[in-house]
Amino acid sequence: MIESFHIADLIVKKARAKITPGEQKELDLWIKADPGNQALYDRASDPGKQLDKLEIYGLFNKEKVRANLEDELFGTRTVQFTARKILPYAATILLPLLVAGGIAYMFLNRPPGDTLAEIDTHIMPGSQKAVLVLSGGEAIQLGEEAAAETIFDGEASITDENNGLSYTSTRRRDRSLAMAYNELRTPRGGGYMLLLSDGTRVWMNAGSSLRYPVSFRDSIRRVELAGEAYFEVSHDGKPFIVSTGSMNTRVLGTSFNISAYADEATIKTTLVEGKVRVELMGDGSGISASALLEPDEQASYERSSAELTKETVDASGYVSWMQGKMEFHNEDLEIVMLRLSRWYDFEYSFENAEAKGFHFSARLDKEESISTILEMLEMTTDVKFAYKENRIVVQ
Amino acid sequence: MHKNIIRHINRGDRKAFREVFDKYFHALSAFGYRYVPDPPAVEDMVQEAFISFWEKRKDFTHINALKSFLYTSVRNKCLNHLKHQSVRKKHEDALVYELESDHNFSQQVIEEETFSALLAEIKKLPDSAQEIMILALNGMKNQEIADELDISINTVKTQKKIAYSKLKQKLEPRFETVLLSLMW
Repeated sequence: MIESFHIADLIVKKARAKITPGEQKELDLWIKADPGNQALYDRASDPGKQLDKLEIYGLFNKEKVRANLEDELFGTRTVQFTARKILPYAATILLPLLVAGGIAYMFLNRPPGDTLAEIDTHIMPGSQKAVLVLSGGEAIQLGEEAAAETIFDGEASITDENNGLSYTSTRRRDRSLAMAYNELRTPRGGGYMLLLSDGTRVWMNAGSSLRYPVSFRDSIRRVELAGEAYFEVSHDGKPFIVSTGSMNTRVLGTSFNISAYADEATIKTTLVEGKVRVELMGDGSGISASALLEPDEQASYERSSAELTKETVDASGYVSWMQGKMEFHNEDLEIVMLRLSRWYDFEYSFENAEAKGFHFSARLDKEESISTILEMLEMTTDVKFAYKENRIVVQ
Repeated sequence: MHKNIIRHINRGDRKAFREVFDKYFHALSAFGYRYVPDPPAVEDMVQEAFISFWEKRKDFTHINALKSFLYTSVRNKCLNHLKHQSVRKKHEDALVYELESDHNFSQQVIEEETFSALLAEIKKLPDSAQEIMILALNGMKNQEIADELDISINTVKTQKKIAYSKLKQKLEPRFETVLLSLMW
């Protein structure tokens, strides 16, 4: 059979006009040796036959077989989706290029005025906005239109300007009053920055809420988070605890990100700087497990199995949302849609449940139009999107 | 293909596996399809062939031995498939005969190897460009392609130009004429 490979090689060289006289002689001898050889040579150089072969190739799902094999042989399924020819990681490379340079190869596929572009009139990127709930239960709308003002609540004055809320402890200390708590809630499509009275900075992502005392006076600084936020905790000698249901993150002074959305299966704490301890709260009030994190380490708590694991990551990828980016690291399409829906605030559904498992990696600009992002997904995975009755449908 | 590919394979390098897979998947599938015209069944055979190749990865000393192994295992799997069908049709008897002939097997391997090398460039084109090229090769006019894919005629022309410039790699006129005639 080695002979077959050699002959095939000669025919290909011939086709590319790269054949040497010696090889040409060899090829001619082979062609003359058997009428079957002549026929084979003619077939190979017949473009119609080439087309037939190309159509046969199209019957086979190469990406699927490769994913199966890699899963079986290497145990990790890096490429699970069925994009036929474009490599999965193309999204990571292509997207920033598209965003930056506007070289929109993919737009060639889709005329203007088509349904996806039309979505942009209904669904827009999020913006800096939030609702502040004061200790008395009064809710104040914060964001673009709100005028800068200073209000007082308990032992702190609160100022809202430049899309950031800041707390300053007042001199007046009245121990007879209960500690006053405020809550900052960002809606889907929102986000906000917060400076707590101890100097700790918090960046809140969309669809999140943080409950905190207006002024910290206990020996432990404790806040409660649902959703995602990035913390830069000030050093003041008192431990700072972010509690997210059954997982606590305890710090002294450090920068880290916590993602604890109720609709995601895991709670993740990613450390950028300093040191934190992640503690799992057991059924009683005791700590059932804990992990110490170094920078670029991430602790994940799996809600269903109540398991705590630790791994090394590139932390910058998990905090880039603060800098107006949205990153996906080989995430399931199900998670991708969930996260997009939080920032762009849309409803969606999967018509094709299998698509939920498709993987996707990208670094997106949060100001990018939703249609561009969906087109990118269409281009790199085997899905189509439609906009029906105010929702995005994954087909 | 990488010169040292075989050493990387012996070492169990995952990238080398992927390179071999990407290069031979279609040729092996098309080879199997000739005898078993059932793509999912052929995909399974090809998949198994790659698994056994990987299990024996330390034994190969030359890329040709590896290629022979892959074609031979798909051939054997096709034979098994055909022989184990409870009801065998007449033409399948002929296929078994053909598959059992070493001469036919060699001819078939030459054909698949040649086609897959010649088509390698087309397969590298983006989906959209490939789709347009296939429709063009099917004899559709630019306007028809534009209507079929719901894109503008200028897009079709641009894509063809891009595709053509990528494909035109000093092909001998005999191999090139169809591509040229399809351009406009």
